[in-house]
Amino acid sequence: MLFGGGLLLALAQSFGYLPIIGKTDFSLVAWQSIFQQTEFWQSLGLTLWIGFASTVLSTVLAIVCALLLRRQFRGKKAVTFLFQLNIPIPHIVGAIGILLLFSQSGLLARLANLAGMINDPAQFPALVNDRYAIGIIAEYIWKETCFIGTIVLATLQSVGEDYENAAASLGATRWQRFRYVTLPLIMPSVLTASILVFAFAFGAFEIPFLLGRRFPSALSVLAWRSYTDTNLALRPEAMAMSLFIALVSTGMILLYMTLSRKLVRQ
Amino acid sequence: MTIVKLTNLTKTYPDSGFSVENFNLEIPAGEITALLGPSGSGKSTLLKLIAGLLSPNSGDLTFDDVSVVSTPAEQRGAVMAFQNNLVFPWLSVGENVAFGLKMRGVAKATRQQQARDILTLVQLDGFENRKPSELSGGQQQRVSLARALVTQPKVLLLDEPLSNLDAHLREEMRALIKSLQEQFEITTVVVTHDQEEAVILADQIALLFDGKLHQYGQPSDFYQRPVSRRVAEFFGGVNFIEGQLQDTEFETQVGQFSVSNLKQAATFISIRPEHIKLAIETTENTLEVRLLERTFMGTYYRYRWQAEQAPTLILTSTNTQDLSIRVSEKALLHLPKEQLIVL
Amino acid sequence: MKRLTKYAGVALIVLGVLAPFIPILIWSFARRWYFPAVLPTEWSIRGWAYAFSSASRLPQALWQSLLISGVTSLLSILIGLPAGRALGLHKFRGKTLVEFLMLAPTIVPAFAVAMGIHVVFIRLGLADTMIGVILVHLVPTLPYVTLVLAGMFANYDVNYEAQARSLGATPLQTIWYVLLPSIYPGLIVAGMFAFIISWSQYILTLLIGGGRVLTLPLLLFSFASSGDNNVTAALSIIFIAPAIVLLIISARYLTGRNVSLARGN
Repeated sequence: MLFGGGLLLALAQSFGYLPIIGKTDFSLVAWQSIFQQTEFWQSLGLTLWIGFASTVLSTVLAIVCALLLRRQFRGKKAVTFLFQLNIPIPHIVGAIGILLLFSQSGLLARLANLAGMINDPAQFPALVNDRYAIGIIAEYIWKETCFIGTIVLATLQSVGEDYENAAASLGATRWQRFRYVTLPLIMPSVLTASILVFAFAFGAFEIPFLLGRRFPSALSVLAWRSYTDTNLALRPEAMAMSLFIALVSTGMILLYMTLSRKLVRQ
Repeated sequence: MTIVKLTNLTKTYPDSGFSVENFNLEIPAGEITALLGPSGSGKSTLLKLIAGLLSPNSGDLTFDDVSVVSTPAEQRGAVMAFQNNLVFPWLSVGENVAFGLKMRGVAKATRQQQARDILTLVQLDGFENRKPSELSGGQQQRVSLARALVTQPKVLLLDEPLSNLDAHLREEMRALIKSLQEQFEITTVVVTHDQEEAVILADQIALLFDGKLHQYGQPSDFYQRPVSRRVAEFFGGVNFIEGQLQDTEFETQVGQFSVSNLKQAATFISIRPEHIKLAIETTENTLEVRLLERTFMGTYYRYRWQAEQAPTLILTSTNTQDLSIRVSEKALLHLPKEQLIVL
Repeated sequence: MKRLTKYAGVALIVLGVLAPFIPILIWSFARRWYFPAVLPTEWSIRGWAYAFSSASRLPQALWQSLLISGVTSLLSILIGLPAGRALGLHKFRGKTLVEFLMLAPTIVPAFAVAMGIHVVFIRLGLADTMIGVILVHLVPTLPYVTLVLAGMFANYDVNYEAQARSLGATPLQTIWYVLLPSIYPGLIVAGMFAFIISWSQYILTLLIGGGRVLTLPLLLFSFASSGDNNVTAALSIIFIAPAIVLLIISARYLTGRNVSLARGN
């Protein structure tokens, strides 16, 4: 109720229906306006880049981690717990950690100096508030690798190793076992988890707000700036932009539901 | 002791076929009555109606002539023990047994004492502090029974009480239910799909097909006087010979048979496998056959015979001793007049 | 050699997970830590002392955060329990649609909703109030709680309730003695993660609370942007403490499905 109502209200406002400033007529001006702005398209490009880069990288890393954590080793329980620990940690804290780690006077820069690679903070590559959103992507990877990894690990444990052993006895090499047995088995959970991650990375606000540049900024940050702008006339545009994000996310949910259903049935 | 009476009881489900309509049955006090029928016959619906877990669309349900239709389940005094035991896994055995007393506000010491006493009756003394997961299926079943009995219900309702047990536990449980039921003199209704379970437990059986009462009587009636071929088949009848009654003889494609029951509209005669005997010479009610198959069944032998005059007619007989006849040899079977059931 | 790679890999994972926490932990105890020193040249507890002093407004933020998250998770469970039961136990027409509607708020960014709602909340006088903030926090927590409990109810045998009723339990007693003991693992997980989701909200609180309602993430954000690393680091550690405590408590009830929904924000 709260959710659907909120979205409907946002929709009405994106059409310029804003009784507070005396606007009660409907128009498509806001939508037309955002699609004409180069800043919107640049933001969209950046947001898509952040979404895809963090999803792909954290998915690959998560599979590697899960395969590793599945094996037997001393301290397995503790490490697995540590791996899950990240999931409830708020993103903001991760962002602060990344900031203190990656900034030009951060811990990594200091270690680089110790290793004799740089002499001055300015020589350290810009990794936060940077053009390629590396800080943002790093934060998402840090957090979402654990998320996807935990799900993949749970799947691997419930599937067991019988199929891989059967494949091995049929002559499959290590790589073949992974490619033709393990990967198809974990694919359903990997796909669904990574869609969730993409939708989140596409729409989240806090991380690009803390670790991103002012221009171009992620779509959510752009929407927020338009919303809080002293010029109330920009509000319909803010609504239109958040709805655009919501629309993309909704597409993601549909994809998620179809995929998880289809893959479950197999 | 409580008489349970169902009068024109109707419960229909719009979507599924599990309905009972205008059901009438008087369940005698202090005895075990089985509601027997295949799945979907409406027997579980009836049990839940008596328990108060379902309410009927129409009709009346009385305990000792007092209507209980509007009495909620917890005040009805008809306790049901479910098929899967449903021993609460988060409670100990003792807490499980005392559950009903706790709900009634019985003091802790009293209900613990009563739980201990009843656990002794079901041969589980000393099990109070165990967790249900530590018990075997048979032990859980006894906990479930004790938990129902401890509340001293007017009516005890048992849903398939033996179906999850293996052969030797079945016998133990049967004896336990019987002895407890007699000791408590409690009106008991057993629901089952298994005719054997009904026969060994019940004083009388109500056989249901498609939500209707098909036959009601003592267990032996269902073997000796089934009302239809369907009943006979449900009780393990396998030998059916088609024909019709001509005066006092039943006319079939393999000859005439004299019968003791002259039912005019009859279309079949039937005989139980154990009643078929070998004959030495052709007399009344004999039949020429060839042995098709002989199987040792552990405690008896089973023979399948093919009628000489009608190769599609196969009869089955059983015998505790091995007959000295080899497969495809001829023989003469005698179907005694007094054992022939006319359907 | 194989063993070595394995342990190296595990070490890398541990390092990767812990990496962002290392500078946070050091900074919270640092006094002088100028580039290029790898460790602080001078240590102090100034960050912690300041964080706990009234000047930082931590007590106020901590109290409001606890209250908002506590009430939010309680409300989520009260509403989500019957909803999850209906969703988990019954098959009905349009169930897929309901599932879709439930999933939507877990993926669609809540601020899109909050921006739309804001106007109405202003009109109703809910903007800038704690009640308004709690209501808007329900947008992301409620579907989560409902889905977790629906999963719990999918494996729940309603016959236990019938059995209890038959043994003489009233409807209320049935809820207390049968329903709650059966689903409490789900209740714990759902409640805790509702708490964490609410605890981590920044933009929803900022938008609806309008700065009048101060929660821990808002305080943390303002220190983070002011560049006071000592206090920011100390606050970060205070901020993640409940998450860690709750994870430890709920770890044994966690399953893959729960995790897939339990994403901090």
